[in-house]
Amino acid sequence: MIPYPASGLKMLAERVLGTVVPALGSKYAMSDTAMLAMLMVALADEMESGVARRLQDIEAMADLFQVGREAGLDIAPTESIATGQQTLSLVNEIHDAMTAQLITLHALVEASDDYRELNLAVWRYLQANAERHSLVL
Amino acid sequence: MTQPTLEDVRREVATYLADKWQASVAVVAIEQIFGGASRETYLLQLDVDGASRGVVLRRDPPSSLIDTERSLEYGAYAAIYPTSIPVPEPLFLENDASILGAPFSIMGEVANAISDVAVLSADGRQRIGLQKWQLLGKLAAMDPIELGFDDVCRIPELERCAAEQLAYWRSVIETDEIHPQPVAAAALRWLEQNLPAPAQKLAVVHGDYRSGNFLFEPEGGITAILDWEMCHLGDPMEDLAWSLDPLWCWGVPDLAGNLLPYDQAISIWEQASGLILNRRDFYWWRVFAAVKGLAIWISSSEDFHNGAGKQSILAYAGWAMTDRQNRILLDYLSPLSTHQFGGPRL
Repeated sequence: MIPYPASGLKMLAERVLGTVVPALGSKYAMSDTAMLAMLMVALADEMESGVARRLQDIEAMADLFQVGREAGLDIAPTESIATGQQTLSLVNEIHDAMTAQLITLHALVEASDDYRELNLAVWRYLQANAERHSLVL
Repeated sequence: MTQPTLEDVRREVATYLADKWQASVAVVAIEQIFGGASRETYLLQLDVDGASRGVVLRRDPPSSLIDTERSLEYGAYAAIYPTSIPVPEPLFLENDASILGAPFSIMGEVANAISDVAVLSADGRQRIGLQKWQLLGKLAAMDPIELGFDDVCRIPELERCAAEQLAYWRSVIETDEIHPQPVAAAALRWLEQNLPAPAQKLAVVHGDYRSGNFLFEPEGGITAILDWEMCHLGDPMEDLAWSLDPLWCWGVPDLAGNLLPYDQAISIWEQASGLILNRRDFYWWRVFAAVKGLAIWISSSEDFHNGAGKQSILAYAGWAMTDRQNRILLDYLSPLSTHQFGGPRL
């Protein structure tokens, strides 16, 4: 059998909530374990679509950097990700590096009216990023 | 002893209190309280020479949402207890880690009280909300030196209250972030460039004054203000802004702390404190409150990620609360904001 980790993890979380939590002896252990199970469900979702969400971010940030370069800003080239390398940890690493670069870009463009549109585009990205990664437990 | 079991706590506390009170002490019931992430919190029912009595034990955890000094928290309780601001009775501060594997403090139990304001009726929200911001206003009006807080906290200059708090929480974010934080970075730049006027007065700042951090009787009033571990001296607007952070009104965006409309809460505080809110400066403190919250959630995330703390509440705070606090900051600062969250703006 090739397991489906996200649905497997969700089923395990349901089992914890349905059978383990009610059998626990203290309110503290019940609350702590129920929260663990809810976090397992959120992690399952992250396993399923976390890479895709980060790749969307990466593509959007690369577009912002390109606009910055065309506006004459000195922005280093960004690393590309080849198909087949898309593990969550690798995508996280590249996402972090690009986010650090985005912070530098944002500080630059907000300081000058010459880059008003790019500044707005960065804010638009931050809002889209928050929506994409919103967590509902 | 590294992590004591409930049985360890029961046995050691009975011995400890018997020695302190020179009495016969038995622990009749013991329960660990969930959610007290800054300290491990236990409620104990005692038999002391045949009389019933409840106490609360707060033990330093291996890791905490808030890295603070227990002596500061205990000192704050001791200074506030004689005043008209209700707090639990401070009983003992024990710095000897050999007893329970970590230092701890013991307070009197505040019986028959709850902390969840979601259970309140509309009338109850009005009653508790009125008291909540009246008490905060009273705290703001008090003279911290007369209360003895100069023995507990450092005294900042009025001109430096905001800048010092900003520097502290900036350092927490920079030290603890496990991913770059673009919203926090933008907010920190904004705060740096828009520092407020000096504090109108020096006040005791509770540091975490919010719904959930006070106890009340559902048909009565507030019986204890809890969790003083982030207490310091500073600008009283800091506490008001924290109490009004939209983070504390899940699902009810128009009610500050799930209790009262924002303007009403501010008006009650102004009347009780005798202070007038400067809208521009107060907006700075609102943005600051959201950044401070973000710093705490980033810090808890780091603790969980690095294995310093394994409590599920740290993972929850580091993920869900960071997510919501980022949205609040975007709502405040983005030029594209549609202002979904309540409270006064610039």
